[in-house]
Amino acid sequence: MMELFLNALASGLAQGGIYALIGVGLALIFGAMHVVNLAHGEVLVAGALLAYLLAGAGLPLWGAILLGGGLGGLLGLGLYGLLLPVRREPPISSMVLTYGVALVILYGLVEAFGTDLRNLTYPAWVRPVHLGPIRLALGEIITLGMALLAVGGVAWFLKQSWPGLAVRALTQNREAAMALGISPLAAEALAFALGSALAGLAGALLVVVQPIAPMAAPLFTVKAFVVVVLAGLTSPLGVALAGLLLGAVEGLSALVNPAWGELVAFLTFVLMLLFRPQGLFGRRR
Amino acid sequence: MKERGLLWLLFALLLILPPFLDEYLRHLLVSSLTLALLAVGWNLLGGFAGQVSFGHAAFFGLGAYGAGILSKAGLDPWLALFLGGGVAFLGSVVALPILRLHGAYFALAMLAYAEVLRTLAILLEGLTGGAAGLFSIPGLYLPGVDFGAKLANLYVILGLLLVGVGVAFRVRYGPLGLGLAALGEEEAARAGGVPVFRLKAQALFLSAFFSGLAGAFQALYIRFLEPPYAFSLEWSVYPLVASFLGGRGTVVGPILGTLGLYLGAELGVKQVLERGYHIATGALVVLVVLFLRRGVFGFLEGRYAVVRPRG
Amino acid sequence: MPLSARGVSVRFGGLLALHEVSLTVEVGQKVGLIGPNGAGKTTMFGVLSGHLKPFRGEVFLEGRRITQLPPEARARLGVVRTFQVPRPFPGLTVFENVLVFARFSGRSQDPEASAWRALEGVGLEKWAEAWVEGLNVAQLKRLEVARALAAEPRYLLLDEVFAGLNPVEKAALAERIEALTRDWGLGLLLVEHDLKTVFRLAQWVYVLSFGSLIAEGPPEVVARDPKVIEVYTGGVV
Repeated sequence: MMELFLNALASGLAQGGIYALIGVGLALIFGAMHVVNLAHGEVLVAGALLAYLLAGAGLPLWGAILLGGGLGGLLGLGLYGLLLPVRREPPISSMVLTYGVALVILYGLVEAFGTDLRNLTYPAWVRPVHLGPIRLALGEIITLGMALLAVGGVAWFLKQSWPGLAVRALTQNREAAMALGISPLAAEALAFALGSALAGLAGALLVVVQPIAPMAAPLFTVKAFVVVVLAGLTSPLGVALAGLLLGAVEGLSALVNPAWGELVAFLTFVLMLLFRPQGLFGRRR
Repeated sequence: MKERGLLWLLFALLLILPPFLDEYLRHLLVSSLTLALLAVGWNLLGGFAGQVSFGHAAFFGLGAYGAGILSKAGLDPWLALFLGGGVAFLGSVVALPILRLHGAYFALAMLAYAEVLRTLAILLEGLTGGAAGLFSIPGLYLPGVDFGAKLANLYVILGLLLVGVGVAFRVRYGPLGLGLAALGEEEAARAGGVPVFRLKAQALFLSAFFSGLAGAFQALYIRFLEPPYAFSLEWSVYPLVASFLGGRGTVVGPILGTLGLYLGAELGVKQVLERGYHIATGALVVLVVLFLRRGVFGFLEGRYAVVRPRG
Repeated sequence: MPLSARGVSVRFGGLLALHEVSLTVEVGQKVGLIGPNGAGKTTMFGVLSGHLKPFRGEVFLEGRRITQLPPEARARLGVVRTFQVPRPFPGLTVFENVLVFARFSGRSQDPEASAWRALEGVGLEKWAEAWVEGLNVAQLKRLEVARALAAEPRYLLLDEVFAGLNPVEKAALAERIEALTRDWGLGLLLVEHDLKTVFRLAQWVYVLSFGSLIAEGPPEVVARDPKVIEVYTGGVV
């Protein structure tokens, strides 16, 4: 019984690593621009399918994964460019625009790849690893590790590098950042590109361990939002924690009925927005 | 005014055409008119009150399950139809606290609300039939009328749409419309004595009822329901896109937007591109947001208050 | 019986923004509220308009306690404010903007007539059918006043209504406000930065500094009060 519980938890945490990645990516975008990016999940799937293609064509796995992230970054920049004309409008216009782009990407991918699930099978990654009573695929552990590494990298970047500081300043206090001479356009573009790159990376990592289909994209977008709202406006580490938490809840509820996990996730989402808008870790604005 | 004339013309056409159409076209019309009612309902809140919801599937689904469950329980299907709308209305009362949120937060919270209801529909098996679904829902019935064919259903949904349009017209061009328009600057509206929350709530209740009515009709039309269908993201997104494209500030915009999208896809684009119409829709949305802020039919927008010359 | 605040104190976290401030506005009286930046003028304005609740003290309207009432309720009781940065209702015409206030304040027997009267009062009647997006700053300021007037107020709270206007526009607006207060029988509270205009218009002036009331009285007296001079010139005369 305990073993079942621990395995479900571990599996959930591995998935949570992905949620941490896309959560941090979305938090970057939302923090810098206050845009609800509904195309986030589509970027993930795009990254996944590119990695799938490249690895299938013979490229070394890590190259394919990184390029998946790269595609994400490019898509992010493209999306940012489209959003520039609507910056002055109420945020809902941007939101709807990203939705239009999401449709185009999603069904464009469906045109290219069909609706089937794709995943790469690397025997090395499927090999089970035993940690005490817990049994995980090597791929799951690698994915979780890579995700946390990437999140750590972003955290370092935001704290220690000039461009990263610019993005952080913009998130925390827009007027002050501009008064300091930080170009909002450059910083926002960076945030968008980086945030989307993380989504692409998440997809590329995921496609190695799990079958992915284009139609799953909206679900990833929604989950990313749940993570961001759960964490609140906080450091990447806080968002990552929220991502892991979501993964854990999902993993555990799968023991009973996955619908329970979703119910808890969405109910928490609504209640958070209503009663604790700063999230679990954010500070009250 | 232009819009009223257009609406009369539209309904006249929809009234006269059906006997001349084949079953397939009639079926398309039934589906698109159901979506149009959903869009008109959505737009009461998302267009007139400016509170864009990404979760109206909640009300559609509540209406559908409400009507489905009641009809299966033996209630007269016509009563179940309207009570389905009532269930959706109750669902909006529960959602009132969400109205405190603004902009994207409101939109996403409504989405989450729809998802919560979807999972509840799965988990409350005894009531809803769970993931397996609700089968063999007794449909609408009138002695002597064949509801197996599409024609009767078409006139029913047309009638419902007419009611919805009537209410929407009254809201938009009546006293409520001006108050809702002032919500564009809430603080200023408050300073002028506008009961902001009360107006938003009124818009929400009406919006939920008509969206629920559309769902209720759908349940009694296809006579089968399951959670991912009843609370599908489609019902949340379609009315939003259609209203944005057609023009959120008008009554006829959501209808023309829906008809254009749906019939355009089914009758036009789909013949050419298998799945291209979704891409086309997405591209259209992007273009409208960038270049046609008020929607394709936004030019039909009438004034909220006609200025009478000073006596 | 007037609109008055008694012993109002407001706290933002650890900062005491207002300390035991009392003031009164009578119908037909023009009252000024001045003070350097950060003195608490905006905070006091917020308490009177209903946007802020004090942690101590009360606000009375004609003997009735209204401290906890929200802005929309106060508007319906005849206490109407304008906004320092004009906030016209977007997508509506000038007339519609004013009509919103006329209708929803519930104080007018004939909202359209009130709306017209208000527009004429500020001289915007020729712009009635124009979109608000086409107005310049001076016109938007006048629209703010017109909206408030359309609500048939007893007390008009003007939040830095002269900010952003050139001297010619200021003089014109000041003249109009003077006439309107007289003809409409209003109580007027002016929160202002522009000392010259306030001293010209007001009959009674309150001076705030660091959240406390340091002087009050007729403009000529207040203008010569050494405490007030010091606060504005930083002690260097």
